[in-house]
Amino acid sequence: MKKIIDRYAEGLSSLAEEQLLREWSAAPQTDEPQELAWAQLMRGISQAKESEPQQLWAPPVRTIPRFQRFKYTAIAASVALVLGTTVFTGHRQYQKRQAQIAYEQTLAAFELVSEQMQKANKSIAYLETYEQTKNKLFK
Amino acid sequence: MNTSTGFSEHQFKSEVMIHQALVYRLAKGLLVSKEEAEDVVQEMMTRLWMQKDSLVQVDNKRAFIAKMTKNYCLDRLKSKQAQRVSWDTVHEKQAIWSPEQPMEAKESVEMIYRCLAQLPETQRLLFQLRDIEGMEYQEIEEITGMQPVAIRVALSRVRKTLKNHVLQQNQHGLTK
Repeated sequence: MKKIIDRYAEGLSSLAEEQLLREWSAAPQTDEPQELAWAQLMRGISQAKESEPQQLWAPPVRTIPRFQRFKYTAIAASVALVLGTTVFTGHRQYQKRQAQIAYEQTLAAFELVSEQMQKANKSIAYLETYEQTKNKLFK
Repeated sequence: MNTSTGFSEHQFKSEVMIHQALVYRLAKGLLVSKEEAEDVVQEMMTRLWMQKDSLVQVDNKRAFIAKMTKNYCLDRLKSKQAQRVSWDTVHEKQAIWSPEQPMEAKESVEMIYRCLAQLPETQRLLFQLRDIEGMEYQEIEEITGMQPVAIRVALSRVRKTLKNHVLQQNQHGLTK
């Protein structure tokens, strides 16, 4: 043990040798004052190794902000709103288009009726001329 | 070298938070104050937490944390904020060792810290790193930036000083 103590004193000992010294220091079989002093130092080191803080640090608790807690609800609501608006607008445009078509078809029908009415008027005028001529001849 | 990008809370707990006692002991040895050492633990862990993403690139977390603590404590000692107190003042103010510890061990630890407080910061640091934390010389070189021979010489000096202090105390006790 004396050799290990000397190596320790000179800063040449290994960690394993230092561990041996601490084990020896628990019950040193010696009366030599120098060795007893080393043993006492070793016991102090062993105790110092066990020293720990009273208050340990803990990582901060992660608090989720209110807007993040409802993030997915907000996203879903936004998507629903956009989709709803799109569908509603699309539907209105479809209805408008249908009305336009109906209007155009009605207009075409009226034009057709008008055309036929004009033809009928011409025929009536012709009939009137015919009637007058007949009356003159057969008076 | 680790090349992944993140450092999870779980990793932080298992690789960084386990060194809180090291930070505490190192700070206590350098600042000679239990209260200040408690503050240093909180401060160091908060700083490490803030930069946890960059820790993934650090291979030796223990050496990194010890170096960071050493630098912080030395800065604190230099600054006005650090009101360095003598061991006697600390001893009077605080119950550093719990009453259930054996009296002889308690006296030995007190004696060590009382003597350490009188020594230069470098010697205190080396004694803490090697004898209290059980670090290899290579790790101590990394933390202190000192040459191996200089480390051994300084350690030899502090060990002999401490032993002589214990011896003197014992002789003084016998002649009392």
